Amino acid sequence: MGFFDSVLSFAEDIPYFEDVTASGISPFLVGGNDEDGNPINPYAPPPQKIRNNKLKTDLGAFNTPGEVSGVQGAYSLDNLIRTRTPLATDLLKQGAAFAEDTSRQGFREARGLLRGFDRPDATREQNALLGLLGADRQQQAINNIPVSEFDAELQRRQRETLARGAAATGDLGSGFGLQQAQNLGGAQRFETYQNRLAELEPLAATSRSVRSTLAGMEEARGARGAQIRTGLGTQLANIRLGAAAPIIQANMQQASLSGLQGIAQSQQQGQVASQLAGLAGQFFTPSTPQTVQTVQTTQPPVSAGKITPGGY
Amino acid sequence: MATGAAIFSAAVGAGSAVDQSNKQSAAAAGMQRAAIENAQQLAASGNAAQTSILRQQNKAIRSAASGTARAEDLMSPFIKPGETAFRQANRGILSGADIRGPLARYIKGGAMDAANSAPFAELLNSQPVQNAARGQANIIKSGFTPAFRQQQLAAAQGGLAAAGDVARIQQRGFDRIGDIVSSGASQRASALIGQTPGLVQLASGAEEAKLLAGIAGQQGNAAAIESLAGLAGTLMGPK
Repeated sequence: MGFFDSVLSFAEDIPYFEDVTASGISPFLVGGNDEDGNPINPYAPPPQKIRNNKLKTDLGAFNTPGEVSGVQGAYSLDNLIRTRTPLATDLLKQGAAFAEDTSRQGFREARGLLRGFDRPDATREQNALLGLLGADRQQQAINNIPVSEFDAELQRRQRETLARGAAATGDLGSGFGLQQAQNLGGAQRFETYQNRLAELEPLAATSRSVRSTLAGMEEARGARGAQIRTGLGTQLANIRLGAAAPIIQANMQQASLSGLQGIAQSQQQGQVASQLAGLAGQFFTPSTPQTVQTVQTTQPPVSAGKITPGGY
Repeated sequence: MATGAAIFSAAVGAGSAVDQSNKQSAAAAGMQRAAIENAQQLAASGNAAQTSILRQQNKAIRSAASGTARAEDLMSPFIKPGETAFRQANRGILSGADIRGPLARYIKGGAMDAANSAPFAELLNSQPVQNAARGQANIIKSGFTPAFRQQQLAAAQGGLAAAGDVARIQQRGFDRIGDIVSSGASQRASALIGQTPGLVQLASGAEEAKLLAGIAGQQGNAAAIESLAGLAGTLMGPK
């Protein structure tokens, strides 16, 4: 198992944070489904359906995430966010899934076009002929080298020409003639072998080239998927964070308004009470100011903060 | 009668002050509660945000790793045969060894077949000629060894190109995963640390509210005491 295969299985084991945070997260913030399609909060209102738009293009028809149906007026900010947050996250996820599907579809179609050119048989035979797959496979490959009728005839004629030449020079029964014949026989075999390798080379090269292109495409597809997912993570995070801001503001505003209201009421009540007290003071004040004046002449000046009957 | 009015007025004043103080305390306590709730809200949303980033980051890693692994799988079959070809050519060239095995037998077989065919077949009836023919077949095979080594080296070059491709694919794969993790970590850190000013603000807001509640209570007490003191002055002062 290669490193990247081990990453594929390792990534599954990275613990998610939902176990840690689930109890602390307000239900409206974790509404909707998680990335595996399971509801994050089973008690949250079910996400409303998002209708798909049929989009016809030169590349075919696409079901794009379309208008969001079932968006209702909200009776409170909490309700609004509770309704809209899962819709927004689902819409994002659908958009990301659409992007991934489209990318995958494009890759499949492109691979379909190239696959016909990826024939590993030639490479395999070449490797076998070179002895890279073992002696048995090499023997088998050599035995199976096809020799065309043309080549067979050409080789026969070469041998005949050699024999005629030897006969003409008187070497037919000599060791030299035999050596010439053996040289020709060995060369013909090696030529057959080399011709077969040369014949296979363009096929093997095509396969290598196609595989290189496919490898680049696979890599790009993986990178594209990663890019989509990374972007989705950021956008989801923005939604989660963005949903908190208006709630916080509204909470503070509500607390502030409610406090101010209480204070204002209290002040109003205080004013009324004060007016009543003033009224009571006037009502109960003695009607003979002389008495007060008499009292005042014999009394030291009244200190500040004391109630001075008589309306002074 | 004046005393009654003073008592009434003082009672109303003190009551009003206490009531206002209570309302102010309640308002401040409300603000404090809201600030605490908001801080919890903000912390929860931060956790949710960084969980989203983490989850998508894991999917991104899997996607990147899958693309890299598949790309590797496509090119890997060219590497091992290329390595073998290079090893064999290297050993053969450095040691000066001739072609061996099935190819050697194939070439020698061609040479011996030619010797065994008419019009030379009769010559091989002699054992010394036969031995000489075998020796000649070996020499012929040896003569094709350099050409065969070139074939092996060409195969090694193909393998080397594939190995280079795979090496670059792997390098990019590791880089990509590293980038995803570091960018995810940065985003998660931002999601968490980005909340700090808000949390600090809310915490200080809650603290201020608490202080205000305390001050409101003190002011209320002072106002009530002042009213009562006034009353006491009126009642106990010189008549």
